[in-house]
Amino acid sequence: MLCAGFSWVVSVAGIFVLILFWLGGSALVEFLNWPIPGSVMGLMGLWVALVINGGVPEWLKKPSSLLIRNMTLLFVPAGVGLINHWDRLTEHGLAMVVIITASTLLTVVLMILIFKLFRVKL
Amino acid sequence: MNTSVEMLLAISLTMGIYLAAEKLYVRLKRSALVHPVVISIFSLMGILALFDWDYARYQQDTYLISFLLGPATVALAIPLYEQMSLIKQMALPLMVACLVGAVVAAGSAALLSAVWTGDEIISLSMISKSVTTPIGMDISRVVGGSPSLAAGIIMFAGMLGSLFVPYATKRLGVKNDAIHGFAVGVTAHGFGTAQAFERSVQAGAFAGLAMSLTGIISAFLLPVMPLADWVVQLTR
Repeated sequence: MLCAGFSWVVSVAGIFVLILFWLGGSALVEFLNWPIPGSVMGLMGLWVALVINGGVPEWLKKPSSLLIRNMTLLFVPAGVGLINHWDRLTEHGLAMVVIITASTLLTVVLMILIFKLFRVKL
Repeated sequence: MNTSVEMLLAISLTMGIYLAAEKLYVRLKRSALVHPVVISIFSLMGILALFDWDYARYQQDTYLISFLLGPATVALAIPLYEQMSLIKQMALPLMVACLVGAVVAAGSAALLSAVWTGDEIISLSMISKSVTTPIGMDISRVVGGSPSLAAGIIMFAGMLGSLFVPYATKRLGVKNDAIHGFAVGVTAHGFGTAQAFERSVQAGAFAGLAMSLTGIISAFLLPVMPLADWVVQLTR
């Protein structure tokens, strides 16, 4: 029981640190008036902290992998918002599929060309 | 107390449907076409439409779930930190390919859409097409698109990318799993990464690295590029 209680406290500490970096990143971009998402600034901040620390502490890793593993659930509510764009989707859906596919293939071809230029083994 | 029951219902429904969709996904051999996110989103849309449930209220009621995207995005620093050692072997080509890939994936989709569909919101949301969803939704918010539409577009980019990119890399003569993984990660983010892991651990690791790098590069670069202005001009 004591052990379970301990791991719960440890996970809360991990989530707390993640939110703290989110807060720091958001405050920084707002202060600098940069058009960059605060969450990504927080990501960079945590990355720098990990490089300085030279490793990932277990109490941070556990809640983080829980969040990342189930990340897809987290954007379901936003995705449901597609319902407000239903007319757009029915009108332009086919064009969107073609555009997404064409743009993806163009990107892959260009990247492979870059690797060829650098003589990376394909 | 009515509001709190509605909130609990919205959260339970979202989680329940997602878990059921995950079961279905495993049963159908993990095809990208029946990805739990896709099934969940369309089922919930059906339920909302059927019961005349206002999306704004559903969105408010499920805010607790969406809120966790913030810490989850920050947490992406951990796999990035762990995968950074992969980059050492060929840092310059990987960084250049990722930079060009991120810009071309965004620019070509947004501009093509502006010219073809003429729909401003769709085209602005296309800017974050290849970016992993949590970061992509935030980028969409910053450049004036719709986060919901961006989530949908990113989802389709993931599905279509998982479908076509392996074919493209094969045709281009790619045999190195690292290069294949990287290309899939840049263009098809999480969907592509999951698929790359089925090819090999190396392909998956490079895809994950590419996904994180693309997200970060896109977040720093795309909002300061005049891409959104061009889209607006083209759709006017």
